[in-house]
Amino acid sequence: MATKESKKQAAAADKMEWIIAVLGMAVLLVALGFILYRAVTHESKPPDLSVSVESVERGEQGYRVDFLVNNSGTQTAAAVVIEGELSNGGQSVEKSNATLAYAPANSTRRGGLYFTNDPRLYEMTIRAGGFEKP
Amino acid sequence: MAIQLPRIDPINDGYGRFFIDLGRANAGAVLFSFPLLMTMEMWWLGFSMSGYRFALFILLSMPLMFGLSYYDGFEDTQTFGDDVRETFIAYFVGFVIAALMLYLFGVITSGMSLDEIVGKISLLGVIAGIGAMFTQSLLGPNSGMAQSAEKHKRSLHYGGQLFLTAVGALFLSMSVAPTEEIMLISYQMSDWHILGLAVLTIGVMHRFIYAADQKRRKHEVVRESSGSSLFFRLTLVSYAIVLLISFYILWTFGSIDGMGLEERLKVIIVLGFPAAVGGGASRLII
Repeated sequence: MATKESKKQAAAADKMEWIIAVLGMAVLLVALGFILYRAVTHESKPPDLSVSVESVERGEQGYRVDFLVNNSGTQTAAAVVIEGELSNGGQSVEKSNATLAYAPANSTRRGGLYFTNDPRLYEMTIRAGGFEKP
Repeated sequence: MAIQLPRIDPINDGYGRFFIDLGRANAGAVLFSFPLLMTMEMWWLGFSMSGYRFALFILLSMPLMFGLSYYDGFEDTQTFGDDVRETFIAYFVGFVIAALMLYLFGVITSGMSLDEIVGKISLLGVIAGIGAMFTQSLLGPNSGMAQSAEKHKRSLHYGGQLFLTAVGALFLSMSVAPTEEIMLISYQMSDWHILGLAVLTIGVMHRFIYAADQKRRKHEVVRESSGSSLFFRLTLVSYAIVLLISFYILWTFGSIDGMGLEERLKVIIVLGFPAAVGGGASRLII
């Protein structure tokens, strides 16, 4: 048999359930609104990739160049090939490349390239070579 | 000497019952969404999916959750308000679980745009929410005999059976639909293989439906039905629903965009197999 105390608790629990339900509704509606808003205002800008060098460090396998890829477009690029090249007065010394699974719209991704030569002694160019539309 | 433990009476203790329900909803959300939380295609879909299709998916999940609550949820619901409340509690649990797990798995990190974060959490949050609701019949006190007679009856009627087929189909097909393998399998299969798989799928569905029919008869929802009437009234209709669900999921995830009609049909039939197993099983479970 329910006592007076447990009845009071049941009422409190009921209130708590409603609070959580309202929170759930708010979270869901915010997410839905955000996604819809983005879909409506979405100007379709193809992936626009830029690569910047973050650091160059010596490692076990020669030199590691950490890079940051920024996609400022509104479309996602998949299978992004990052190509790095060291050159000396127009003469190619060494090439290296890495593939990123994804560079999502308006986001950044990080990766690294290995070179056997010290990149600091040469001219280094790092660029996105190409991508696939997901 | 015996130690006096605080006793929780799950029926009379309001808080106790509430926390048990909530805990069970959490377990359900995790149980169902784990394979998807750990599938990278799913993370990518969160930001690569078409915005309109994504929004439609979230919108359609609401009547689905509501229906699940009506037929079988984590609490015994009596009124319309109860079902609404239960639906949104499940969403809340789903979103919290998805956000927490994705963060812990390192799927969500700094440097990601708001679009990406919201997309990832929303997609898996909705799925985990459905899981929270769906698994109640496996873990909840309502499973088996203890289920309230009225709910049980609801789920055994024709409309209820078809609804549960659709949910079960969605439930199982969603966990394989985003993977590359579904496509690969359809490429590997010849037309005869596809035909064979379709026949097998219908056969499996019919077995499930036959078993569910025995259950319905036991509860005297239906009186007599011959095998062939069962086949046409339930099995074929259910298979049509399963193929529709299969198509909807593939379309939502954008997997079959740009494919030829025949190739699309093949993928739909391939995904229809796990969908049919899920659809058939859910009518037995709930």
